[in-house]
Amino acid sequence: MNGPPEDEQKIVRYLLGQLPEDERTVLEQQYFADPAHLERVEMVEADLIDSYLDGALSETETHQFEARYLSSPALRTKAELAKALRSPRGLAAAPFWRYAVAASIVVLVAGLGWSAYRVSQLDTVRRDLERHLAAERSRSAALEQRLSGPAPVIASFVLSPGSERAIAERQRFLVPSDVTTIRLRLALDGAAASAYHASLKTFEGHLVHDWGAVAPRGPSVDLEIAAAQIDSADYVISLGPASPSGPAHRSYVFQLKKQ
Amino acid sequence: MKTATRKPPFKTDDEYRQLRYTLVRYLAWNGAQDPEDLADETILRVLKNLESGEEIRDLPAFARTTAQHVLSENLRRQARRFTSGAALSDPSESFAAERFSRCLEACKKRLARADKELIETYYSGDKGEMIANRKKLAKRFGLSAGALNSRAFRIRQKLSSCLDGCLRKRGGE
Repeated sequence: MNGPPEDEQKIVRYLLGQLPEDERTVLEQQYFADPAHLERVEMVEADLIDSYLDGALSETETHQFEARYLSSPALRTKAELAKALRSPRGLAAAPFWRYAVAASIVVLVAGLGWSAYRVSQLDTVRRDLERHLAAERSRSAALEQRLSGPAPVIASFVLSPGSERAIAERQRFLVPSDVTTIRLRLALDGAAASAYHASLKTFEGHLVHDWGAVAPRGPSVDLEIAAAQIDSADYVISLGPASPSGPAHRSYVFQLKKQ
Repeated sequence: MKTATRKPPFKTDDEYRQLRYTLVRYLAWNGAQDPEDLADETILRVLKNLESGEEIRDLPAFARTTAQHVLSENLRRQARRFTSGAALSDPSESFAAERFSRCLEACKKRLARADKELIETYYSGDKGEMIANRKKLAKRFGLSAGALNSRAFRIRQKLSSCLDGCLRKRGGE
């Protein structure tokens, strides 16, 4: 890929929703003004998707990628396309050449009986092919698990800010039993800051989860929590300043009911 | 009678297409569930502003700001819709593998023969093979490694645009 690596890293952070607001704005202004910039972002995106499929992203990046790309129909199509390109026979079908390799092994095994002189050479080739086949099976299984297998089930909810006292008006969410991850999109009223501190407490004030510093994504802040980590109860998400000069405190009150 | 003359907002069709495409990408990267619809809504608003006589010096920058508002409103609408307790669409359900496969096949058929061959070979094989395949491919097409990457990227983009259009069309059937 062309371009300085730090620039590429910035774009990756943008695509994963991790770039602070001020840097996001600059990047977006650049690609709106110049199609070449947009193409560069798209090239980095293509590499990011390939890295995901290769299992080359860190655990955090993988989590961020899946939260963003596998839950948005528009972005998921791109990941599915990249996966399909690596398997030209389609999504479900096994690659054609895998059968060809298997057939070659059969032929090679039959060849063992044909000439004792050739046995040792053929054995070496067969072992190579078997190793190759095993590696391909493993890679294929990993990809299947990531994209076609038991995909993470994400329930997304959008919350508006409100007063903690307004429990009667709290938003109510029903979470199906098969949901593994809960994504909470907090709508921001007014201008967004570059970072917030986010935490989740029960209405009684017990801390359930602390996300630490989080960057907004346009006019909202996205948070995720494992469904297993929270029970049916009333909760308050506090979105406060990440620094002393940060934005004013906001509260998001909601009731969660698990099926 | 005086006839008002107004400068057209887009000098060429390409300019319009480029702005719409940029909006779709911007909206998708910022979490829009249906970026195509929101891009159209954004362009309509930009045109309305122009019709009302507003002077817009930097059209792409103005379009981006308008798209921010459109997206923000869309999120608020989602908030109202989903406070009743329903979840957004489940990604495991929203993706129809069969529809995707059909669209992909249709889009591949629309590629030039050389492009189809290039993209299939470019992504074939495991890591070691892939590198060797790409070297052979570059030699065969008389391209440098960088030029081959760019060409493969553009074919992938072409397929991606075709897929988006096909999936939208088939989704509405």
